[in-house]
Amino acid sequence: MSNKSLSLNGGGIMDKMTKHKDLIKVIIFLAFIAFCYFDSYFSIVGIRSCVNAMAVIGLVLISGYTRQIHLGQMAFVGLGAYTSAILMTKLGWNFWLTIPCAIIVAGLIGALLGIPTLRLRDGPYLALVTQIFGEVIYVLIINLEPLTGGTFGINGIPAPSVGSVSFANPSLLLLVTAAFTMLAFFVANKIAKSKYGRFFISIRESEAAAQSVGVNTMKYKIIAFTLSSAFAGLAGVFYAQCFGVINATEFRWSFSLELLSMAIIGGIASLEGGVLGAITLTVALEMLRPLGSAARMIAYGVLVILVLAFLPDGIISLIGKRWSEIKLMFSDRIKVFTDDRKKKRPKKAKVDA
Amino acid sequence: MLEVNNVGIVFGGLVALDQVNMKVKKGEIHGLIGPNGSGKTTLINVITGFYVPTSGEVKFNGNVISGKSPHLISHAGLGRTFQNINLFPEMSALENVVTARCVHTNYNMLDAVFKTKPFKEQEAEARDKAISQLEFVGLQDDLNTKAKNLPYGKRRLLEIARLLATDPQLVLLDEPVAGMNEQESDEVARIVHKMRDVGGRTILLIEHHMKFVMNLCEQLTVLNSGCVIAEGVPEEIQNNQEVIACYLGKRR
Repeated sequence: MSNKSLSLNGGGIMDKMTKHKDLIKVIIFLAFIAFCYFDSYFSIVGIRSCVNAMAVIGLVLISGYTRQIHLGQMAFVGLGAYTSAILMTKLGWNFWLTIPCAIIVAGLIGALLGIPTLRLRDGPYLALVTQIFGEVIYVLIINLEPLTGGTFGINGIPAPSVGSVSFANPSLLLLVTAAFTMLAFFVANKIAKSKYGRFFISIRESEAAAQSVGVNTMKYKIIAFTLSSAFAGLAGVFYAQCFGVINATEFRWSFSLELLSMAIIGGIASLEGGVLGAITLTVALEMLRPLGSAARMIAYGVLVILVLAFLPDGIISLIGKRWSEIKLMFSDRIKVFTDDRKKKRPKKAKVDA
Repeated sequence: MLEVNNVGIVFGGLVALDQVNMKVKKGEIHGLIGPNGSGKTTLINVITGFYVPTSGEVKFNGNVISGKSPHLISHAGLGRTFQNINLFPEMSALENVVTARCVHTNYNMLDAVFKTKPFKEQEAEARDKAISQLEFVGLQDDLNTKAKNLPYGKRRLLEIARLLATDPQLVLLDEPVAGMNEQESDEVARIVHKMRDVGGRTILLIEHHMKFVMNLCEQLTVLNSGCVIAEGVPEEIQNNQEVIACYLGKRR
């Protein structure tokens, strides 16, 4: 858990330092976008990174802050994608108008799903329900053929445009997607630093204690889940734009699991960690593409295991630390795996010799 | 102020509380004592809504509160601490208290996103109130320490500060000085007095530390095996044969 996400407004020097760090984060993100901008293949990778980042931002709020495990985030991305695509292809709506619609549809369905599920306390109910929900959405999309195109999906989703300027070019689309990702991060960050974020964390830390001070934990879990779904809906709009084609199989639960592992690898306890994980893994998975899909998944699995073993707080825990601190962190983790088993005495420092 | 009327609770076949009656008057420091397993914590859990009684009712300021959710009971003006300290361990001391204080804010999500005036005012107020509560219990030097890194005694004090941030009329303390030394428990006693004398709050506390209880409490209720066996001022309780028997056993 990073201290930054918990610090309060008005802290003097600390405040200036976090502002400084925020600026660096924005610059790193913009550098990544600029790097992707000049190549049309990388532009697509950049768009996918941003789409995943938006979905993971939602996931951080429900699974990182509130610690309710969500295994169906991709289904909500799918809801957003299909809402936007159907409104544009069937009803000829303007792209920009489909954005609020997709957010509302995904958020509303999230709320409807969350209200009965999150009333149940103390159990992996949300994980079970969201995983099944992903499959239900898949089956629904396949069978609602007149609306969704069934197994053929939806093709030829028109690109957004402003006046006569079309964003069909991947580089331009990347800029729009990146702008919305930054907006999503900004909104999520503001929510996370208000009482909402505090209540979400209090539920994670101790639900009984949160209730004892008067937090309606059920209500705030439902709010977190609704927010999470809404961010996924926004991600879906740009997902549909990425290739101009969507298909139901792309929203099944294995892809939800991919999003969750992105959040965990990046650092699920903070929004920055989630975004970092989404970008790193999307790019890494693309880089591993030449290995073929089987080897790629193995490499991916090994990466997840290594991160969980040595960086339980995600890659974000490396950022802003000195080299000596990082070495200490690793040696601590290695001790967890070796010393506990063998009960070796720690080696004496060689300073005396 | 608080009325417990014929409260009973049964877990499976075990009768944890049986026909318990208790009254706490406004402005009182009331002690709840009894041997281990006599149902003290269970009674606190019933009063604060964590358990729903099988029979009977709990009234607070004339309104029935038993069966309501814990967060609603907190809003009604009851605050509690836990026997096994229950903080938000990854949050700083200040954040722990601010979180509790935020329950009284009414800004919405849009206010938070756009940093509107009500948001800024209420956040500042919550922060100021939280700091003053931390000063009240003497934790002003540990504002930014994570709760899990505080020493044991300070964690207990932090839990009290967090509960005071909700501005309760009735404070329920579950073993506030368990595991503390003389000096630390004197400090807690001073804080409890101050809560009542300055804050105007009523206090109901569970404690095994008899010297602490006898010096501090004005009224005592003794539980044994889920039943109230004695009530009265400390002097009466100290000389009550039944109480002595349940603590020390009977003389043969």
